[in-house]
Amino acid sequence: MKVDVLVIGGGAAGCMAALQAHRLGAKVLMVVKGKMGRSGATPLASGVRLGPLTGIPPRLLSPLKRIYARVSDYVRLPLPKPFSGSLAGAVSTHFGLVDQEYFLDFGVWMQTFLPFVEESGLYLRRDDQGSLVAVAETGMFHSHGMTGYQFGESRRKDVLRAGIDVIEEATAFTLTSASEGNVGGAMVLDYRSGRLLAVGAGATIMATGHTDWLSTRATGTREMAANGLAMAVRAGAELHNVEIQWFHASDAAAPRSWMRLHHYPNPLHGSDRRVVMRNAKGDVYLDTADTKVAMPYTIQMKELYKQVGKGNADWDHGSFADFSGVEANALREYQYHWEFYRHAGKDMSRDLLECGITWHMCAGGIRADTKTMQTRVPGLFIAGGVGGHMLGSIILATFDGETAANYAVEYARRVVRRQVDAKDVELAERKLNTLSEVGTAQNVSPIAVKEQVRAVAWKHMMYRKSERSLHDAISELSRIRTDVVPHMRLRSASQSFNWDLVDALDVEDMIDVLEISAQASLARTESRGPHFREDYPFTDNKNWLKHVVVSREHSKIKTRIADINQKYIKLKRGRVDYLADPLA
Amino acid sequence: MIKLKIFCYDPSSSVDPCYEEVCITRTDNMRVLDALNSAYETLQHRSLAHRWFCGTKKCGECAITVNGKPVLACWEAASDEMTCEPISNFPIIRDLVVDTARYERDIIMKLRPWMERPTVPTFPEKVSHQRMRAAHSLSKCIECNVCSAAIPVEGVTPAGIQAAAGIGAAALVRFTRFLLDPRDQTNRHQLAETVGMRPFPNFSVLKTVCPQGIDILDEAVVPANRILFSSRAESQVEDDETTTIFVRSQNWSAFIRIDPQLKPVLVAAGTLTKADVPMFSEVYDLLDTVVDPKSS
Repeated sequence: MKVDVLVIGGGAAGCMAALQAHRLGAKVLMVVKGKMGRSGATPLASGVRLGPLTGIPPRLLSPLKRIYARVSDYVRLPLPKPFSGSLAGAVSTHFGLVDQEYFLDFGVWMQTFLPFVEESGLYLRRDDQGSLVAVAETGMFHSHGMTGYQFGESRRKDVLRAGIDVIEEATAFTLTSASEGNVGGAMVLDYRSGRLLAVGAGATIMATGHTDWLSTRATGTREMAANGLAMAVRAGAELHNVEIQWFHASDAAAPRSWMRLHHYPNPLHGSDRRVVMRNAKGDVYLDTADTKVAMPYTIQMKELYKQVGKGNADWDHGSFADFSGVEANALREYQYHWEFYRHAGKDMSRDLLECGITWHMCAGGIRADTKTMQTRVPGLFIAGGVGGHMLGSIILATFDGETAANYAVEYARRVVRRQVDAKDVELAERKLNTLSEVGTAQNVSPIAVKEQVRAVAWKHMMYRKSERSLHDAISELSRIRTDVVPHMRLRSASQSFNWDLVDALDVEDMIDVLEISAQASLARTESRGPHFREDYPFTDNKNWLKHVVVSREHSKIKTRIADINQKYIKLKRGRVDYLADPLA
Repeated sequence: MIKLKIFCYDPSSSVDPCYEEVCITRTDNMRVLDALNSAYETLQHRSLAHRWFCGTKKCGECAITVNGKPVLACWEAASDEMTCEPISNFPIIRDLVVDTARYERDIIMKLRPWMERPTVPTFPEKVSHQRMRAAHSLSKCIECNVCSAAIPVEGVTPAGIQAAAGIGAAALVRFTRFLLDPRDQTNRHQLAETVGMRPFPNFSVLKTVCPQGIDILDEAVVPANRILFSSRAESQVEDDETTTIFVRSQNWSAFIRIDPQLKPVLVAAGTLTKADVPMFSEVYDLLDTVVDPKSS
């Protein structure tokens, strides 16, 4: 199979990348591990944040921004509203490590995108006067928890009606090279039928999202196993910020499948009140309204840490979300989980909701030039949460999808499309054959190994990390790799919808990425945002406004430190007590 | 403890379908999906095929039949004894996994479930929630196909399964969501005529079966029938009694929900032949000829 552009991933980023490349006349193939628009991070998105609305036509705004950026290389200019507020928010949400130029470009692009956001039928909630229902503090539209799946479904239909080739329930597991040091497509297992596909591509766009299921409790959906990060690293790309995991402190404790149900600590639609956190004794330990912060996720984690230390709560139980101060009507109208609790016999306007933490997302990801979304590996582009340049957002991911497609199509036009090399096919076949062996009751199943890997992350690489816990994580992961994985066998030989084989493929990727993440965590000898080192409980803006950049060379993990771009907003240098300063 | 009896079948193999029994430990607030995941982890000699992604009623991919009723596994509470089967009216891929892709491609997409208008207005367009309320409610549909599985099919042929009114309930919900959207300018009357839409039967089960809480009867069937066919809203509610049989044909196998009166007709006509499969009482092989319930 030969295409111009291969898009791996079917969320907001992948759909936009495929649509844009198709629009530019490229032959596109989309490979989706789950279901396009339905699995992955996109359907879980809470609302849409539409960025700064200027009212200035983009054809004027775009050159203005270019001039502004050029002048800013020499003199510091104040940033005009509304970009200043928007960028300051992004800097704070990304603990200072944000690509400021990228965020300004996004703000400009947003003006063009806005008219089209509801084009295919998406409806952002209005009031009876016809105005958008928004939360002023966050600029968040729609109802909490209800936007992502409607956005995803709308994009799904956009891609299907465009006639773009999509293979769903198929996992890309190795990037193939067009020539030495390039990426020229991927090997893909279509697990619905058991077919192995060799996809040769002029350019490959990785859009596999940010929300992987790498810890026992995580937000990532069933199929998310850090495959995108692992494949990219093996192909020679760099990752950055992967030491930083973003945690949710207030997701549903039970049942297990509902751990992805989030009790929002943010300002809420239709109310001035917010969630109050209580410990196992029933005492209030955090009123999120008091934080005055729109995204108080790290503050919640710090306060929970203190409660756990005192024995008043635990990481997966004994901490409660209390919404009783919020008007019942606002909860019923705008909170997705209202009906979940009603269904389970609870009233969220009255009852306490037990919480557990979840490993929500990797704050980092694949390092790329955010102007073009190209990685350091020629032919490999990225879009969306899989990148290290931003936290998740379906609109940012959409922006990336368009950028990546523009440059990927241009790149694909310059290179000769090739079939996948026979050597790559043979290697992939050998890998699959080895993993496809069926075992006996003495063997261990792939899902059992996955659970063991996740348990290591849950125990040693949780919010609370130290040099010791990270070394424990690395040695446990290495023990699983050498002692357990060789005994892993499938339980069924079926070619059709055999998730054992998919799970078996995932194991290597999960171990690879967790090891890299642990090494990067060791390198960052400070605490920052949700990256908390108990042995370095301070935020050090003098030395650590930097990226930890990781790559793999000859199967050794290599770490280097890179500067960040602080062109428009410069953070105060100096060092603060991480646990005492809520904003550290 | 929870006792699970799970339907297992690989149509690509020559092995007859069977039920796998497994006991698992009950956990707090457990859903059917948690029970299935636990079974998937527990079973030593079998890799159970069940499809799910999000666990929180967003992907719509975990619909199965539990004790005869189509449900969304992540939503339905786990009961002490559960017989789990794939949802009816869709071809089985393996075990609990069915092929819904063909239904989306061949039926749903033909009904153009998206909005079309000649010009895109400036954002944000002023439109009151009052006017959008009906479409908004239907846009909660996650295409899980629980509704399509809850009502009887029109017929079966070796080429496929003929859904109710030729389109099935999920497609009707998708179509009506845009029919009721005041912003949409697609000529849906013409579209309905082109694809040969017919008045949709008023199955009473459609009132309550949707896991997203949509009253499909009142919110989709009645308005669509009224707008497209000028049917009166208070038309007769259909008798919902159905029976489920397992049908094997050369090209597909599926649980099929049919009108109990239709079954003996099909058997008498020789279209369905009862097969002898251990543990099953209602397995039928489908003759390699077209079945038209009206002519038989």
